[in-house]
Amino acid sequence: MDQLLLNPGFPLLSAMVFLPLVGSFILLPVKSDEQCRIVSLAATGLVALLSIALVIGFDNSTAAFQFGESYRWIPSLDINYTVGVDGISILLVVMTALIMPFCVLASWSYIKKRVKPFMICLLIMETAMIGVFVALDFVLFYILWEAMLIPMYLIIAIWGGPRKVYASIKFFLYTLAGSILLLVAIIWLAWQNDFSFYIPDMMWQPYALSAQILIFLAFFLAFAIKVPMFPFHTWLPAAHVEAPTAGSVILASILLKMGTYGFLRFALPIVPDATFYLMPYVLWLSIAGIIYGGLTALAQQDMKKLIAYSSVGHMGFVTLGIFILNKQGIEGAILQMVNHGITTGALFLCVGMIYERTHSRDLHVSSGVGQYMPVFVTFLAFFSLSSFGFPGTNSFVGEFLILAGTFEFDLTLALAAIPGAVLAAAYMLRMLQKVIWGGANNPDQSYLTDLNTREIVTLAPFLLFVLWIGLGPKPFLAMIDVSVVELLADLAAHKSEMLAATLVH
Amino acid sequence: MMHHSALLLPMVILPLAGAFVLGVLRLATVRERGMAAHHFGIIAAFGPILSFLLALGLLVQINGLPGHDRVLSQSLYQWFAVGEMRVNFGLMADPLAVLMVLFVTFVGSLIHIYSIGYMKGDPNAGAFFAYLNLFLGAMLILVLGSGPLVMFVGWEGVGLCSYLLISYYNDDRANVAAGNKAFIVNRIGDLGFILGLALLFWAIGDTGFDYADLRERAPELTPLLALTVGLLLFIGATGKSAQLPLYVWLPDAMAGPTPVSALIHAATMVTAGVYMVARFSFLYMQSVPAGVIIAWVGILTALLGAIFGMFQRDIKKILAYSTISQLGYMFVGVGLAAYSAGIFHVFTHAFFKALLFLGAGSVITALHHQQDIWRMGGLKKRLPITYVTMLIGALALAGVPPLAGFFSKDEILVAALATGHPVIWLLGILVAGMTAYYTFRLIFVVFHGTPRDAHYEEVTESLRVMTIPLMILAAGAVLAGFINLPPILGGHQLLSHWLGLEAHHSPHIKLELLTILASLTVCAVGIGIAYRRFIPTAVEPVYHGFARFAEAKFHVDELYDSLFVQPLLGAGAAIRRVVEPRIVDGPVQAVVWLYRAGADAVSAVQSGYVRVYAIYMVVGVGLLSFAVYRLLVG
Repeated sequence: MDQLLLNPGFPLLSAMVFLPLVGSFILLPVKSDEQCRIVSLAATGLVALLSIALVIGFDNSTAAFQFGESYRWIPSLDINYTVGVDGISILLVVMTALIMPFCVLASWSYIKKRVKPFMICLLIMETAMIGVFVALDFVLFYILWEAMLIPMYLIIAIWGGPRKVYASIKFFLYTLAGSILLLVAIIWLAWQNDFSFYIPDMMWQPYALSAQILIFLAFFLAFAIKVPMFPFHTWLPAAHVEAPTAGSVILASILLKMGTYGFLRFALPIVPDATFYLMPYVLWLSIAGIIYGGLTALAQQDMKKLIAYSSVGHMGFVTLGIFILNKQGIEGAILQMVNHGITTGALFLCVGMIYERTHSRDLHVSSGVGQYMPVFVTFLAFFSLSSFGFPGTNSFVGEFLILAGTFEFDLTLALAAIPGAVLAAAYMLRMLQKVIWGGANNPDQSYLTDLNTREIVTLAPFLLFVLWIGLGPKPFLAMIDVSVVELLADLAAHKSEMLAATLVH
Repeated sequence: MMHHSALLLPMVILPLAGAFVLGVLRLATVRERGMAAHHFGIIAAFGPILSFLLALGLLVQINGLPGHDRVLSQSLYQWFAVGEMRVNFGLMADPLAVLMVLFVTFVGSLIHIYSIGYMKGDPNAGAFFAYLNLFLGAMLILVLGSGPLVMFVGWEGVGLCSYLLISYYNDDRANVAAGNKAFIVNRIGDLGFILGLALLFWAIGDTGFDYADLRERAPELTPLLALTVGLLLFIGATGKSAQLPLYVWLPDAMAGPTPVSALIHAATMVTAGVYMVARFSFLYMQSVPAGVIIAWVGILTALLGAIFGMFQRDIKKILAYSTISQLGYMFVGVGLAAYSAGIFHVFTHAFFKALLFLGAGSVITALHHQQDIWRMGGLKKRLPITYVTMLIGALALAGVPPLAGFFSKDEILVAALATGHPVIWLLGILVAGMTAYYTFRLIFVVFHGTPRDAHYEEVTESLRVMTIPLMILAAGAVLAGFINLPPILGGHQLLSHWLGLEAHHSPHIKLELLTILASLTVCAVGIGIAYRRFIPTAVEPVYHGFARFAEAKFHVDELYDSLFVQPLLGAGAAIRRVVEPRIVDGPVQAVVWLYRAGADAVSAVQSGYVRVYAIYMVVGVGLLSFAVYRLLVG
């Protein structure tokens, strides 16, 4: 786990991290809006192509960090620019790279004012997000982690809806406040390890349990807010509702995964004893999120809010899978992170497409759209099915793995999670039937036009992945597998070591 | 030893491909309203008919195998694998599955053809036929899946199509609500199913999760585990096959077009639960108590359905409650390990119930969407083909020999006596009498007596494309029973032997005689009472007391609504209005308020007037001077 396979050839990861940033510089002198869009699409598209090269070159048989690069950055503090990917991060990196071009496409006509600054924000976001997933130096990680907030804040605050100021400030301050203690934890950890900020150095060390618990809580606050876990989720509906489509997609598909990624990358290997100790609380908080998110989603009129609360429930499933600490659970959780990214991202794209036509996200206003937009509702139906884990779609595989893992871990927990699946069907069907059919007193929707080619091109790849992962998830699971096995083996080894140590004393 | 068959995949793919083609065609032409309904229908009929031909091929193929080793399979690929969990995506057919696909594709083909007439001129027929094809594909996956998870794909797939088709006439919000109800009630059952599968995996799934693997290891299950898994899976069946306590969705599901009621909500999908129990017979053989519980749920549901059926006035609802009731019989059969008897009833029921529904559809279209039997009457003269075919269906349902229902129902009842459940037997006989009564109540009120429809004179028989399927199904309702004739009537129980689901016991001549006599008697009594009441003329009754309570379906819907639906919706609304903004977000708002209050306090000092700042300066300098003075002087 703590080895880094250096990549002697083309610095693929750095290219993926910095290419969007370079793109944002190229945008600076560009005058026309149309050219701005094309340059952004080209930059994000290039990164997406590079991510395919990453998949092709990725070695499924090792748990080590691959495509490693390490350069000295601040030698006096031993802070380095070190990056690499393993099975835990690879899918998230690829998903980020693949989704970004569609965020540009979704903003093509949605963003009419200040196109250039918007695109610059998107590109800087991409640099920071990919950077977070590949960073192996804790200072590098932390800087990028915080750096994401600024462009996202701007995206909501400038291009957002009527309550954009409230939403953007809440988003910014809530998530920023959560990360402050993360910095303290990082510094303490570095101090414990001869001032090395290299993340693998910090893993599996015999820190005292009391210290571990404090570190875990610091991690937990930062990551649980990002996920967001109940009850730290209240920033999410506000931010989603006000953000423009691309912002919502980035939030739902990628930003939320930072929290669960953080748990896997940091909490489990760095403070394993605290993880074991506090695991039950996190698990029951996950269950609470599943039920609470589902019930709340059932009562929403605003489609974006509905999907936002459904995210709280779905991410509850992911944290459940992570913290039951078995193979089905964690592999299911990682797959489900990707699935949620695909499905919820696509759902936000769909809502954005309605919003561009009706200028409302209210379910009443959109009821009966199906009659005039049959292609649109076909897409919407598939993504809704995926959202509540219909077999044959991507989420079924992930949820089934998590449930099976939970079953193996604790029957009560599995039983408690089950009602969430009924609720998910209930709130998604409620939205779906309103949009497709509505009722007798639908508003006049005859002015609506169905999806254009650009919109179909935007949604089709999402549908492809929904079905691909649903029917043939093996290549995806194969990329994760070895790293998860290694993580669990290390956890088990650490546990027995600690047990032996306590017996000696 | 499994034998390879290349017929399985195309059989599943054909209807699915049909659904895809129809879907694309519909999306492409929906704006111009370019394509006529019957064109969609003709394209749609290809998939089921070809699948039926393949099913015949499958029958030939499987009969070519030695009697003890009749399993055909087509493995496709490994679906997913994590640790010990290895799930394959494959198809498999044994005699049980072959029987199912034969009648599913046969009835399915007929109903596709009938629908060409029924849906004539409907602007959304493209969607209708796409869903119908999709349904058939999903049903075939359900039946032919090589393992429980593949079955679950089909299981949910048929549920989705059912949902889409129930909501088909979506101008009426009630229909859409009925669709939602069906899906969500089924979803509750499905979670029991999924839990059962998870438990099964945990117990014996680590060497493979196909039926073949599970069958081998089922004897390892402890009695408690077998009972738990068996009942959890059965919860799924109570949803899909409309048994207590989850039966409530099926009567509402009649909101869909009548061919859908015939195919999905009578002949095929709703029998999936019975099929599932028979499919998992290796599991239920490990737990007799699980089977007995299933049989009891079945017989009580049969009784409840029959009671409700006697007092309904909507022709389709009468048939819906009858379906619930008959499904109850089937569960008695499979619950008491008389698998072939249960499946035999699935098979015969498919014919006569599809026939009755399609007949009802013919009546409904002839009367321009009138479904109230008290607005019908005397229709036998105007709708002669419909009348005769429906009469045959009614005789079969009522259990009049030698029609299909008589043989299969009696076989189940004999099994109840043979396994030592006389109370179930007695209730079964009682329900048989009630069945005969409500069936002939329907026939007499609708077809006999004086006309009550205002446009009676204009009523004409349905199109040929609709009546021919009726006649074919009527032939089936007459003949289907003979394939499993018991020895007492000179037969050899061909079907039971062929299915080979249970060990064969010697015939119970006395029990069979007793059952035949009893059921014939109650059947005659039931029809007789109906005749006395509704012939020559029927008067619309006003129900009081128990009858009224039964007409209102014991208010179960209202009970569920106030017990489950309203509390959940209320909880959601309460969270949205109070819990979320006040309690969960409260601490956050409190922090914001604290900061703001602090800022206000500090900013009050910043008045902006030079004179105020001058005073601050004077005071500050004064204090400073004093401090310096104290410091220096000491």
